[in-house]
Formats: sequence, structure tokens, C-alpha cells
Amino acid sequence: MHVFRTALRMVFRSPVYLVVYVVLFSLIGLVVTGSLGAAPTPAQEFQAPTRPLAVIDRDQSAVSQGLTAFLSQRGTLVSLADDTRTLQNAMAENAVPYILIIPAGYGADFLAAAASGTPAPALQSIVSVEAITGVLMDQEVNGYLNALRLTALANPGAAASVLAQQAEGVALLRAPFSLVQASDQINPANLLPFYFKWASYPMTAGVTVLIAMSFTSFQAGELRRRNLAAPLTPTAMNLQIAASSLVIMVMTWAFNCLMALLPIIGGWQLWATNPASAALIALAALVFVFVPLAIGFLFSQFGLKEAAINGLVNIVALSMMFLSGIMMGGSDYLKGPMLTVAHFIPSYWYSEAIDAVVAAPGFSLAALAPYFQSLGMVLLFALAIFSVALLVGRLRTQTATAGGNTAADVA
Amino acid sequence: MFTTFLYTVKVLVRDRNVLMWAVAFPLILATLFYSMFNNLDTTYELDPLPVIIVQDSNYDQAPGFSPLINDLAGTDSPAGTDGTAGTDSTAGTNGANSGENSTAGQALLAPTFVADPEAAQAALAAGDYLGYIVVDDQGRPNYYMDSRRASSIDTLAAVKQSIILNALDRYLQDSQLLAGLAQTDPQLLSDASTLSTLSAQPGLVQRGAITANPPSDALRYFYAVLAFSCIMMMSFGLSAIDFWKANVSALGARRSLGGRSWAWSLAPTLLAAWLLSLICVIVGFLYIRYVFGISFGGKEPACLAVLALSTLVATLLGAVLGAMPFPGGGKAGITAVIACVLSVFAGLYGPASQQLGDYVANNLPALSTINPVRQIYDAFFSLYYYDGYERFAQVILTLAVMAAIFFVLAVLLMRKQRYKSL
Repeated sequence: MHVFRTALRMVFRSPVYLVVYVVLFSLIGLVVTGSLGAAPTPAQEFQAPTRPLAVIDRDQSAVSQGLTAFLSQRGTLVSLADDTRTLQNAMAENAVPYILIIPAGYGADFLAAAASGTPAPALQSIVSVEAITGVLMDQEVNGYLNALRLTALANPGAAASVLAQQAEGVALLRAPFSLVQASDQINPANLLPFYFKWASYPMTAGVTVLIAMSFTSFQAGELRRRNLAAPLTPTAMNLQIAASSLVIMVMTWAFNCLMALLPIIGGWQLWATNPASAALIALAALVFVFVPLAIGFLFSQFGLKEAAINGLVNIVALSMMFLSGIMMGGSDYLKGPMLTVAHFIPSYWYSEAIDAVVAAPGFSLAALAPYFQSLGMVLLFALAIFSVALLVGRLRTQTATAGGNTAADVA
Repeated sequence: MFTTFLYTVKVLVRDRNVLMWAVAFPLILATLFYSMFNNLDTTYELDPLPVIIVQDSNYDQAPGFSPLINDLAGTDSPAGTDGTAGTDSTAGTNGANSGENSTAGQALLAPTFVADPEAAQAALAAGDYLGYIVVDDQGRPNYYMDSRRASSIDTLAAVKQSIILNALDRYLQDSQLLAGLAQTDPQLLSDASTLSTLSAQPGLVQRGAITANPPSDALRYFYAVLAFSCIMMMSFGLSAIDFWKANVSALGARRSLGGRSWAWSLAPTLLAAWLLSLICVIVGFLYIRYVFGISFGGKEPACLAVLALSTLVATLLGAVLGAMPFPGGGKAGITAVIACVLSVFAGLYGPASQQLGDYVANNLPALSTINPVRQIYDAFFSLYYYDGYERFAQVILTLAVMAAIFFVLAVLLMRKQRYKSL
């Protein structure tokens, strides 16, 4: 087992990649996932989105104050100074995706228009890139103003503050609603699936770079020649190198599984309440790490230098994360040709496998068929990359630098 | 001096590994981002929301509900034709009046009709719907939302559910208000024109703009990749020092025997590294700006200033790393790792990392200030969004201070380099 131990020693001798790609990026993934919000309880109730919003009230009338009071119940009201720079900051950073500007004199104009039946003056809203949030908040503002208009008609002569209060009561009226859950599938609000998707980056980058470095070291010209002269069959040596790679792969996977247990993302909660789902997600991750293993093996066959391997690993890991839609949270964001391209990316199928566990109506073979199909695709990708690596390796061993037949010819 | 400069340029250009990081990586990543995020901003716009509607006797008998659904679906029958209900469809894009009826604008709902709640439940489990609506025997629409699509993690899903719910709220509110009006003044609803006025749903909110250019989420990725490219120019600084230090490369060993003072030899070396860095990022910038048409707010000359200063920071940081004795080697990997980690906070790794970066910037601004990648990103960001140059000037000053600190550090580390000797 000397080769096995040497291979692992080489990985740990320069631990910067292990520490950064596996440990640090997993921790960043944990923080990023945790920042999405506390994991809700399994008996989750629908919480209307409380996106930050600001009202710039230049009117300070009963109408404008009533509208502001109403909106404070439909979003998180943020206080912003009425100056261009502050408003620009809030919009540009998407810190406040919706700002409503109420001009001076609006309340009086609105009530006069309502009484006369003429069109009411318009308010101005500013919406960040979140156009959909703008749609919702405009809907809320329109709802309140419509209630105020009809209330004013029904109560001619009433004080503006009274009308505003009545309108608020009406505008807060909600239609009956409830959540329906088709089965005992994972609560979609659980953060564990998201974390495991994100973990595809540290797993891809970490395993690929570590395996590629390890294999490359063994295949460097002189070292390879010495190894070939050693009293060890090539099969035994290759098996030991392969075993060390599997250890690296499983270690990386296990580390991410341990991270997923931490309370910051509520992973333990899912393990406790829905262990089968959690286990299936962890299994998907274990199957997935065979892909970076194969990619690392492929890179090692090119005989690249450390910086080149590192560069390629980053390109591959980032590309896989983006093209599969994982970086955006899932394949829902992929449209048109990008969705077609994603089908050729292994991490897309990994993401689909996790989504299949979340959406599975039960734990029968039929219900989990999409999960196993996706995992099958992941394994096929790993196999295909590994086959290409074997072919490249075969061609490369014949070159002079690798000490193959060409080297013998030269000599 | 010029000869040193020229030969440093030559050896750096011949280093394919460095060139890959400096030129290929940003171009590949920018291309990837363009293909991914070219239409990203449409994600935040509203496509008609898929919802199931139980079309039973209650649905048919609910006053005004059927026309309301037709109106929201953008088919026919303007809302409130029977004077009892209606709502506005606020689906629209930036710059459009919101609050218009969907018949005049974009549809809000994409309804699928089924006969009973059981069929709705089955369709919900099988299809891609947000929920289903059932009108009860009191004429109230009840909304059953799919729990899988009401997640608090996915803000967009929750917003979509709220938009449907709001439309139903509005139906109930209008029904109640018009019923109240009918009680207090029955004459009011008997007149067709008055009824029409009451039922009308004028858009009472107009969209305005406050930033110099329209908000765009996709831009963040391009600015982040450009910031990442700038900081990756550490590789040039590092390689230049490798070729300068006597104990790292054969070239360095030969150069140390030359008759030049360390400062006279180091200055053109770093200058060459900086110049090459600048050329590489300008290639990336031109590619992003003119091939993909990514906007920088029409302030391209200022962008060049950012690139010049940020590559100076990166080159000097690389020089500091190169000058530091680091056990075990692997400095090339360390530069990549530094760039990758710092780029998390500039949002290079998607929406979640953008959120994290924004959180750090808003709550721990000191951390953002010392992060050169975030500062470079902020410089492009401020040029695009702000009319004035105040924020831009702050960033430029911060980068200049960073460059000065790295320069002093590099000089201190390299001033008295001593090598092992007998």
C-alpha cells in the first residue's frame, strides 16, 4: 500500500487546494444557503413576501398616511431620505425594490377626483430589476386607492382620515386561502437541497484539482519511468492510485454531508423528520462526485502544470454550475437553447435528481423513477469522461515525454 | 531599463499558463455569462401565471367572477360588466402604466379549467401550476396554493402566489364595496354610465426612473467577471517576480548577477507586468462592451481608469505574494484561490453570493472596503447607475490606497532579498 499512502501524502503535503476548494467553499456555501433564511417548520404556512419598500410622502395628508400605513402591512417599510442619491442607491443595489412617490397635494386631488367622478391623479412608482415585485406592489396600491375611491363615494362629506381608515379595513380583506401538499414530500422551504446543489461547486473543483494533481505527479516523465521499474505490477499500482482517489472523493463528499447537518441550514431537521429524502439527496451527491473524479483523471492525462490544471478546474466547475442552472437555484431559470445545452451538463442531472426527491409524491419505485433516471445520467457522464480519459492516456503513454514507444525510438 | 522591460514582456507572454488565466478565462466566462444571462432580466417580469380554476355551478353563479377571470386571462369580456366585480391586471413591463386591464395589456393568468376540486388536485400534482381556485357556495373564491410553489426561499414564487391572491382579494373587496353602495344609494347602480365609472379600474400608478440607467440584474455578472479578471492579473505580478528572484528561476539567477541595482531591475519588471495586465483586461473589457453590447453607462473612459488602477493593485499584490517566502510552493494556486474567494463577495457565484456580498457591503462595510474585487465591481456599478462621480471617486481613492500599500509592502519585502549561501 506504499503507492496508496504516497498518493494521499502528496495531496496533504500541499493542502491549500483541499482547504480552499473543499473546506472554504463548502463553508461559503453554508453561509450563502443560510443567508436565504431560517428553515421553516415542516407545518409551514404561506408567508406573503415582505420585500422592502419605501414611500416618499411629499403630501403628508390623511390619504398619503393611510396609504403608507396600509403598505406597511404588505411589505417591510423602509425609511429613505428624499434625495436622489439615496433613492438611486436603494434602487441600484436592489436593497429596496419598490419606491412609491406621493406628490404634494395628492390627497386633496384624489378625493376631489373621486367626488367628481373624474380620473384620479396617478402616483409614481420606481421599481428595481424585480419587475414582478413592482407588479405586486402596484396591485396593492391600486387596491387601496380603489377602496378609498369607492368609500369616498359611499360616504360623501366624510373626513379624509375616516375614509382612509375605512379604506384600509376594506383593502386588507383577504380571500380565503390554504396550502395544499400532494404528499409527504420534502418541504420545499428546507435549505438542504439548495445546499447540496451549491456543494456541486466545491465537490467539482476540490475533487477534480486534487485527483488531477495526484495523478499528474505519478505520470511525470522521470517518476513514471522509475515507477515502471519498480517491483510492482502496473495493475497493483494503478489500483492503489485509484483507491487513494476514491478516498479523496469520499472524504470530500462526507465533509459536505457533515456540513449539511449543521443547524444553520436546518439539515439535521430534515435528517430527523425525513431521513429517506435526506439519504437520497446525499446518495445523489455521492454519485455526482464520480464526475469530478473522472474529470480529474482526464486532466491528469494531458500532463498539465499546476496553474493550468487550476485554471481549467475553475472554468469547468463554474461552467457546470452556471450551465446547469444550479447557480440560479435550479433549472427553472433555464430557457430555450440554454435548457438544451444544460442536458449535456452532468450537474444539471444532479440538480434534477435532487429536485426529483423534493417533488416525489412518495417513496415508491415509480415515484422515484425520475430520481434514478437522473442519477443514471450522471453515472453515464462519469463513465463517458472516464472512457475519454483512458483513450487520451493511451495515446499519451506512446509519446516521448511519457516514456512510451516513441521515447524508445528516439533513444 | 528598456531592455529589461522588453524581455520581461517577452517571457511573460511566453508563459501560457498565465495567459490562460489572464485572457482565456475572462473571455470564456463572459461568453458563458452572456449565453446564460442575456435574458436574465425577463426572469423578473411576469409571464401569465398558470392556475387551475374549478368551473362548477358556484363558479358560474358568482356574480362577475367569470368575466373577471376572462379579463385576467386577457381573453374577452371586460371586467365588471355586470357591475359587481373586477380587478386590474398589473402585469406589465417597466415604463408601462400598471393597473391597466389585462385586455389592454398582458394577461395576468393562464387559467386551466376543470370540473371539480378532485380534478384540480390531480392536475396540481401532475402539472406545473401554482394552485387552484374554487368558488364556494357563498360566492367567495378560495385559493389553494401548491405548497411546493409557495416557498419562502424562492421569493419569486411567493410573489407570484401573492399576485393571484391579491386578484381574488380585490374581487371580494369590490363586491363588498359595491354591495355597500347599493344599500346606501340604490339609484347609483341603476345608471349604466355611473356603474361603468365605478367598475372601471384605472391604473393609478405610473412607473418612473431614478437611476441614470435602467436596473439590470445581468450586468452584475459581467461587472463581477471583469473585476475577477482584473484581480487575476496577480498572476503577472507573481510570474514577473518569479523571473526576477534569483532562487526561483534560472532567469532570475542570471539577472541577479547583472550590474543593475535591485530597484533599477525591479521597476521595469513590474511595469512590464502591469502593462501586460492592462492590455489583457482591456481585451476582456472591449469583448464584453462591444461584442456583447454590455453597457457601462456610456462612461468608457472612466472604465479604462478603473482597469488601469485595478490592474496596478493586482500586479502589486502578485508581486507581494511573489516576494513572500511561502513554504510548499503553489503560489499560482494561491492567487487563483484569493481571486475566487474575494469574488464571492462581488456576486460572481450567482444570486446567493450577490445577496451575501450585498449583506456584507451594507452591514460590514469595512470588509467590502478591503476587498479589491468588490471595490472594482463597485466602480463599474457606480458608473452605470449614478449620475455623479462621488461614489466612483471614493472607489478610485480606495484602490489607489491599496496600490500604495501593496507597493510599499513589495518594496519592503524585496529591498533586502538574501539568498542561501555558504
